[in-house]
Amino acid sequence: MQNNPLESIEHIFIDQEVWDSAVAVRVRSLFASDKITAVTEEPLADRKGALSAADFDRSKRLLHLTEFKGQFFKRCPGARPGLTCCNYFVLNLGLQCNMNCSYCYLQSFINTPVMKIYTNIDRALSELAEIGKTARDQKLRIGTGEVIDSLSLDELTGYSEQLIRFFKDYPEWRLEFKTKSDKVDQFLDVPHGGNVIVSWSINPQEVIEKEEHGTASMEARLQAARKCADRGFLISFHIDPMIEHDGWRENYSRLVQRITELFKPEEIPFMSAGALRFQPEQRHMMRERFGLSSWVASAEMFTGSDGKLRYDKSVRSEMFKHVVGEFHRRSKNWNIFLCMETPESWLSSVGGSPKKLGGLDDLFDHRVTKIVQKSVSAIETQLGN
Amino acid sequence: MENLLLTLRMPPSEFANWVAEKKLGGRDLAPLRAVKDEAFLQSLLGYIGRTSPNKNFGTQALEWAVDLHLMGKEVHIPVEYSRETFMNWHSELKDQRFARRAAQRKALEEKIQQAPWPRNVRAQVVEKGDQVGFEVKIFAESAEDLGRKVDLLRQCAEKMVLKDKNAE
Repeated sequence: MQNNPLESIEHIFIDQEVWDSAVAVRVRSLFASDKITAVTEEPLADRKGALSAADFDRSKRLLHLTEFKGQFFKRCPGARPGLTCCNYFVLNLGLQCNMNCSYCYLQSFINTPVMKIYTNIDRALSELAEIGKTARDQKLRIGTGEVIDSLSLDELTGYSEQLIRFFKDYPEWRLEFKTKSDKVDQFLDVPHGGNVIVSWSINPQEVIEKEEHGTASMEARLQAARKCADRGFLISFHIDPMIEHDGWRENYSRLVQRITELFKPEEIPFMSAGALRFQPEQRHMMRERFGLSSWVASAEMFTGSDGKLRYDKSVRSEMFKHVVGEFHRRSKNWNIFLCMETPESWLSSVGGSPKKLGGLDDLFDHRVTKIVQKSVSAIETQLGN
Repeated sequence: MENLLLTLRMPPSEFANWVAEKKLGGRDLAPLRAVKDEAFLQSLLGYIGRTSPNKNFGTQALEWAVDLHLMGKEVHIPVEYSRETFMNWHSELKDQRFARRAAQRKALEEKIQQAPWPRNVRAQVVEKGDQVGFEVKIFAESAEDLGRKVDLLRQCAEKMVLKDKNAE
């Protein structure tokens, strides 16, 4: 069942210096005052470093409103030599997630004992405006859902509205919200430039119930996507991570069926699929937090060429073939690309590498990446990073 | 790591010695954090400590045994402490923890055993991370001989493909 942050967050720390920020004011109006503490230093600073399973669990229930001091605008971590990935940039407006997926990669690197929301979105938008001076006409994709769900805490931040309004002035850019929630009603009436992609990481209901704790149901996500599409927002689905389990074929077939019942291929220009993968050290945290009844923790995983643990290549290939086949059985117009996969997996599953597949030029134009990297470097220099 | 050992109420002394001798770190012992069954833990750690395997095999066995235990599978812990017994146990644990991979390997082994390899050509199953396949070793006396063997290998591959197709 979808997590309600108003119920799941047990305590909120607000930096004294952001006490009167828009986000802090909103949060203070939503939570009882005995749940809120003003702080002048990092809360629970003595618990910093590698988190225990219990500390990690607790970090989802403690919220810290603070300013982000570093650089907001970062390159997608998937874009590395040898890995096929989209040309994608990330904007982190917080850290940690109030939902609780067993496979979540945050488990392998978060070392702060509280969930964070950065209150200085204005500076993030200034950074973007700076990049816009040299790259306004480039086709960039900028996502906000890398280390925090883009929308699940939106009732606390209201950031979706600010971002949508900002991006209206940059029609060549695309803003991507990535979520496992169904929280879209708050921005449906916001005027937009037709350049906002709301994307859902989605799995069959059986996987959601077993592994994606506190997220919206499959049907709720699909219905939220339908609402967005009806209001002219672009939508996308990431069938990722695909998780193998007894009955996976039937369950993924049902997911594809439901997507194809509710949407036409032209309404979803791109979809991605990816199989379960995680950093090797993450398995210890997963074992401790979810036990071996989890399909994720108990999976047979092997070290892939990038050092991550993955299913056997033949299993991945079978899963991709199945999902791609289920879409194409209904219409060849469905566009599915494999994110974070090796070119070999593309070839064996889809029959072409991403650069050769039509319609993906915008996503794989590394020339654009270079132009933006120059602007990012300039910002890094200004920030002294 | 010390903290982790302290959480085990009474780590068997052989195990504590093994941990010190092999210079194990917290990450090596991380699987133990998930185990609540003290009797299982004592028995497992006692066995590993007493057999004192090398760090790599020991930590692998420890993790696979813990995983299988947490999966509700019965983990047989040997009462014989020889190196040979340990290595057999290590293989059994691996095959249980990665049961599908073990079956895949076995099927491939059978397939390459039955294949009509040319003389002086050897094939063996190899696991490379997330892939299982087979490596083929050719001994050739000359370039001409190599060409002959390559032709024979092609025929061998065609027969294997045909057999696969017939089996489907």
